[in-house]
Amino acid sequence: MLEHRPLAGQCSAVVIPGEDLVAGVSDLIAASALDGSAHAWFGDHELLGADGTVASRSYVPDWSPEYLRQTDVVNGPIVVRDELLGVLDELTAPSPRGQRFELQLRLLERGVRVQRVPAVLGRRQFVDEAPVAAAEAYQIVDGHLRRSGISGVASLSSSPGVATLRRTPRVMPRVSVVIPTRGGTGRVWGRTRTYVVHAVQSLLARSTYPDLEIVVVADTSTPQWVLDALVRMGDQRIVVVPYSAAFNFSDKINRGVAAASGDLLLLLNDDTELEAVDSIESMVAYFGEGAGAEGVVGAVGARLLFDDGTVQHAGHVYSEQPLHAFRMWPANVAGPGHRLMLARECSGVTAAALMVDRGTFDSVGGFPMDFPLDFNDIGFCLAVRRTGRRIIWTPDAVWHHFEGRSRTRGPRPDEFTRLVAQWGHELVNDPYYHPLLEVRRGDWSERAGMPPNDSEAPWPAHDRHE
Amino acid sequence: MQEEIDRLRALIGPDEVSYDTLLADLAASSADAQVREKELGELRGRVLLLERRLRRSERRNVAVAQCLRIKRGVTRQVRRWFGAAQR
Repeated sequence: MLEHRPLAGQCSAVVIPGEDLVAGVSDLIAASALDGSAHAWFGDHELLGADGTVASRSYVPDWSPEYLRQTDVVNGPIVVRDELLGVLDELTAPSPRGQRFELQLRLLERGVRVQRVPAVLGRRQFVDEAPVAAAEAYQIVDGHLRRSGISGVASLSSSPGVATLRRTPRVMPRVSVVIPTRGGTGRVWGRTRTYVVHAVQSLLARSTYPDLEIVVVADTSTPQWVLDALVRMGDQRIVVVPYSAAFNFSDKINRGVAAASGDLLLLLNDDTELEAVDSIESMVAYFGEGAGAEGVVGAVGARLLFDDGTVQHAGHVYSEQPLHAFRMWPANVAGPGHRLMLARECSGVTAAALMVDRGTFDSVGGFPMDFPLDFNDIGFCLAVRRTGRRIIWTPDAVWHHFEGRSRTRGPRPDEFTRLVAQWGHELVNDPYYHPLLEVRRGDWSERAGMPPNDSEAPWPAHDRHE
Repeated sequence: MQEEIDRLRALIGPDEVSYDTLLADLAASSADAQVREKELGELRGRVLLLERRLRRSERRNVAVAQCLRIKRGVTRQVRRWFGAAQR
């Protein structure tokens, strides 16, 4: 059973048997509780070897409702205000670890504000480590879905401690796909292709979404035969918007959105090809849910793969500079903390495949016009997060993105300077990363001299995507 | 008659059937290229993960070596103190 130990300030720490609190937990919580908005806290934990030295530690992200609906993200002490201790009586999971996982979901259901303390709060013996059994995790997640009325299906996972959640949309409003293009061509899988034509063809031929509109924003430099090819598709759903101004990616997106009629907007690069047929449904499912303390979803990003099948995009990490998480990793590994196989919150997602609702898009004034080439998606996502909305990356929406693996053109220095001037604080304080992880990598490696990250699954035997 | 048709066809070059065959060949080659690219990507990914593991292991080795050096230094110092005290 879970244990709770009283702390100063009418708070209690909820721990599993055999888990010790570090000295000064009350002070850490008191310092975090100054603004009075949070009613529960969690932090990192250390695993001790037989000789008492630290074998590994966790580097937990900030409160991530979508992520923790699928796995015990916290996996360490949870400090709650004493008035919330009654929640412990509601827990039904059989094991203490399962109960702690369930406690997080119960706090989520109650709309409790939970805050991360990026410091070690607890310690336990490494030999005691065993994640929640997959069947128990499934029961916990399934119960949460039924209680909270979320539209989705939980699945039993082959990985212990994980139950995958597949969201399903309640309604399917019109989705306008906005594709800026110059009619570029390139070689993919040994054949030359006109990117935009293939991107549109793959959407029309493969997507199972019932109400699509495709808005192609074409520069005046777009060859006429490319426009003719789009017209020849003879599909009423295709709208071509001419763009004659000097190149500005943000402006092209904004004009495309202005010409679009859908309530949901899917911003898509032209050098993409739809891979998973129900990708759009997977993204749509996040909109219109999750109000309350956890905040509504403002934008959803997709899993993008290079032409060789390695990961191009799995969410952004802002660690002194913007990074694609797990760039060039194999697509069939689960990644640290199963981050490559589970939908999760992140600070930003790429505009190469980004879904946003029109209300959110308008509320931040569209794409930032002062970033004509690079970082416009970062500025946009950070502006969305500033409105209190969450950004989700989902592995269930999959496109190929034929961006070069070794990009020769670096970002424009003036745009990076502008990004740092506008969002410098956010670029070094990514809540879904950890301040003690290695900077400028985005793969959850610990910094030099820090204990190993305990969310690393053994590799490769247990690290395969089921 | 058929002979004449065949002769004329041979003069003209590839017919509509061979054009279809060429298209099918092209599609098959492209699909094959995609499979090969994917295999290459898996290998690239494995190399990347191995490099990452190596980098982390090297760092841990450095940290362990530092700990051992400090421990040896402290032990030496303690022995010196004990030796001095016994003398």
